[in-house]
Amino acid sequence: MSVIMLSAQAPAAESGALQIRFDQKVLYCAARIAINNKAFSPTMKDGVAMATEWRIKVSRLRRYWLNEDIADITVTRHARPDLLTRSWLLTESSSDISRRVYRLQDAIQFLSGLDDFPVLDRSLLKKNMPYRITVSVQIHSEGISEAWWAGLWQPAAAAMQQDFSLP
Amino acid sequence: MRFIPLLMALGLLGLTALLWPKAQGDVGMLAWVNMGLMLGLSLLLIQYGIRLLRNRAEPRPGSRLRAKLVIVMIALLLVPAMTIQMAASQMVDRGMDVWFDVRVDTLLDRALKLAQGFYERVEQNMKRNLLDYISDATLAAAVSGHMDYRSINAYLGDISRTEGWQRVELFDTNERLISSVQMGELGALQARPLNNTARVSMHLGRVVTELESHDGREVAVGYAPLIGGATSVLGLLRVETQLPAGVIQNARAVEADYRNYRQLEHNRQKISATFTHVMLFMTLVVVLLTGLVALLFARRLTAPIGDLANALRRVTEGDLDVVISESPRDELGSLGRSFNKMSLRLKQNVEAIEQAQRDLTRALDNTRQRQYVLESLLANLHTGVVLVDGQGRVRLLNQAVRDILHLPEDWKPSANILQVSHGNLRDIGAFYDELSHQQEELLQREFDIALPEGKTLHVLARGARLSASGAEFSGYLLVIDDISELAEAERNKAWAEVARRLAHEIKNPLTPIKLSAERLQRRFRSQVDNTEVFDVCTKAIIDQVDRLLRLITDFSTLARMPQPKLREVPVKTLLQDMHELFHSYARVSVAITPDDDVACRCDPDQIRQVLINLMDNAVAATGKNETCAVRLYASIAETAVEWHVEDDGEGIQPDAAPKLFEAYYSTKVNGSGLGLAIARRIAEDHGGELTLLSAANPTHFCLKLPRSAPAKEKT
Repeated sequence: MSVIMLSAQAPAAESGALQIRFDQKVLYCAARIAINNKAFSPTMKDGVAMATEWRIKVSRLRRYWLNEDIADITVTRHARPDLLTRSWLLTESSSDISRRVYRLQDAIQFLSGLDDFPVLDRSLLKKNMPYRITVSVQIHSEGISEAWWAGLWQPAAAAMQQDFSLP
Repeated sequence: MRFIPLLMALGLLGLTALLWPKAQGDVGMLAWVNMGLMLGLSLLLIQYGIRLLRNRAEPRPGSRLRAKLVIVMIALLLVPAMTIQMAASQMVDRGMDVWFDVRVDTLLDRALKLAQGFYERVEQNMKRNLLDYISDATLAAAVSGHMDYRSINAYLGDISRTEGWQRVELFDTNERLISSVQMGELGALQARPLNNTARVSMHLGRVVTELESHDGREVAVGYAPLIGGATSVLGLLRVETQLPAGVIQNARAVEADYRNYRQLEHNRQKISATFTHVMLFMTLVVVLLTGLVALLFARRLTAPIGDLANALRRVTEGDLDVVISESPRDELGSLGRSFNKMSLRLKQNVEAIEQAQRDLTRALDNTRQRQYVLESLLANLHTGVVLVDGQGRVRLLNQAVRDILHLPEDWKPSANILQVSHGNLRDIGAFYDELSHQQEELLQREFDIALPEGKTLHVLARGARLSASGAEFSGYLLVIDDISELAEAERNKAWAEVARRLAHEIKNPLTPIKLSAERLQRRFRSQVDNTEVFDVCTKAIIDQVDRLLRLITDFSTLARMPQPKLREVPVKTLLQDMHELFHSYARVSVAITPDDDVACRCDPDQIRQVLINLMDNAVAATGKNETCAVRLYASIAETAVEWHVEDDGEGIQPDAAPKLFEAYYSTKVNGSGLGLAIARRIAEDHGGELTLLSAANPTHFCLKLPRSAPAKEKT
């Protein structure tokens, strides 16, 4: 099994790091936002639930027209604190798997990064065609508002992108 | 005034910059809505301010008042609104300070620690108790398969009863359930698989506890690895104990309150900002609504003023048909009604003035027309007219009076008639003086005026006093007529009448006298002794009677001159007739020169009589001298035919020449003095004239007759 690792720093270096990886069938991405733990820890220590909303877009670059969207995936990671047991229940919306951690650092690691997240099937991509993967992250405290306008003025905490093409 | 909108926009932009949401702040959409509203309002104010600055012309009527009203109303609203907002913000800040007081914070911390202490105590108790079973030989035998199932269950039941655990389960290292005991309820048919915590416990060989929620209940779960020998793990003991519901409920309530409190504290700035932006939003909405209402109200209020100003401008430009609305039943409506009344009266006055102007113009035109007619009439009038005002100054005189009286140059308008009436015109002044001093309105006089050429003019002067009621002018009108010809005609007529009657009275006895004389001559000539004397006497009677008859005939002719019977007569024919009559005289020469087609419209008998009279006179004047000649010839002009009779006789005495054509004036002994008078009368009856061109050397008479018939004067 051949594994191709592409690593690129996002244009906004302080936003985070983005890596993509191919195997024979799937495109994976690994992203981590470069946010100080202070952005999470005081809030989470006070028992406020937090969530990160990861939006991953893959598009084909076109010179004279808008880029063609290939995939648009949204992944949400929740960390719900339990003050009585001093633990955090971590849940990922894509798999609906939850686990409980008793260290704040584990919860922050869970919220602030994606590790080997499968993005799309490789068969959807063509060789020697330019593509761009864009990852943007929004941090929500006290849960995610379901209102349609909630995301209109919510700025992205981090945004990363990387151009690639299949060899 | 013009800078107020820009200043307001500047202030609003400053406030916008002050309240601009920070990047890390989570203030929501409301803040951006507020920013949008303030920016939009600023742009509107800037646009309005720039338009005010650029528009240097006079603004539309009422616009300034409208702008002032809107600004004042917004300012009146802004001051209390801003005050209320500042006070409310202060109150919110104070309220939050009280809310998030440190005592509350401490209280909640302690409450949470109490709740956490309960959980810790449960877990610690469970851990401490589980430690007693890690090296339990019975359990180790059970997981090693050295005990039967019933003995194991009994042992686990003892443990459950001893420790107070509701469930006790025993697993081997392959996570296979060996035995399970559950207190108080039936056990599940299928054992729950081990979770990661259990695996960690078994893997690390450590006692681990955790809390789980099942069906709204919370249980404490403990995992104790069963260790055999030194370090080998033989199995896993999982126990559960249900936490007391009342305690759990209170603990969770404390946790929820703590979380909410911390959440609010975490959002403290956001709450404050949200409150500020809500207040700002409400203020902006109220300001916008107030501005809109103020604009509508101001427009409604200033519209009548604008209409009134527009109407005044149109009236100033001359449009008096403007009418403004009178709908509002207030002071403005009253003002509009007053304006409409004023406009209506103004229009009526202007129409009256225009009508008066038209009347005056028409009257002036009529006056001018009358003056023109009068001047034309006076100019074409053959009667002399002099208009004199009350002070004796000549106001008007026509050309006819100048021609009749041969007035000198000093006779002109504004000349005093008494001063200019001197010399031969003294009678004119005397006539005016008499007219002005008499009581009667009219005066008529006839008098003679000697003209510079020696002629005497007989004029008829009529005067009238002009003092018509209502007329501003008062004066005298003098009308001068030349009645010389009329007087002469009347004199001639009188003389003709005298002649006719005299001839009639004389002629009646003459014929018997003549007949008696002739009878005496025939019957008594033989009886008289001296026939010679008798013949002389009777002949003298008969000759004198004949002479008297001729004289009477001439008188009759003059008195009863027949109207000429005009017809086309060739000039040549008349000349030939004269030639035949006078060809016996050698000294008479008649030039028959005109062509046959040259004709003259006249009565041939009367013209022939005139020519014969002239030729007779010429022959008589040249009778004593055979060397003298008499010449008759005609000259043809375009409009007249002239007969010229010349003789080389002794001529006419200068003093006799002026009286030559007067009746009964003759230089001959036997002349009646009527020949030339009759000849001139005939010439005048033909529209021509008989004149003496030369009194001597030669004596030259000219008879001039028009070639065409003279227009008959309608009398």
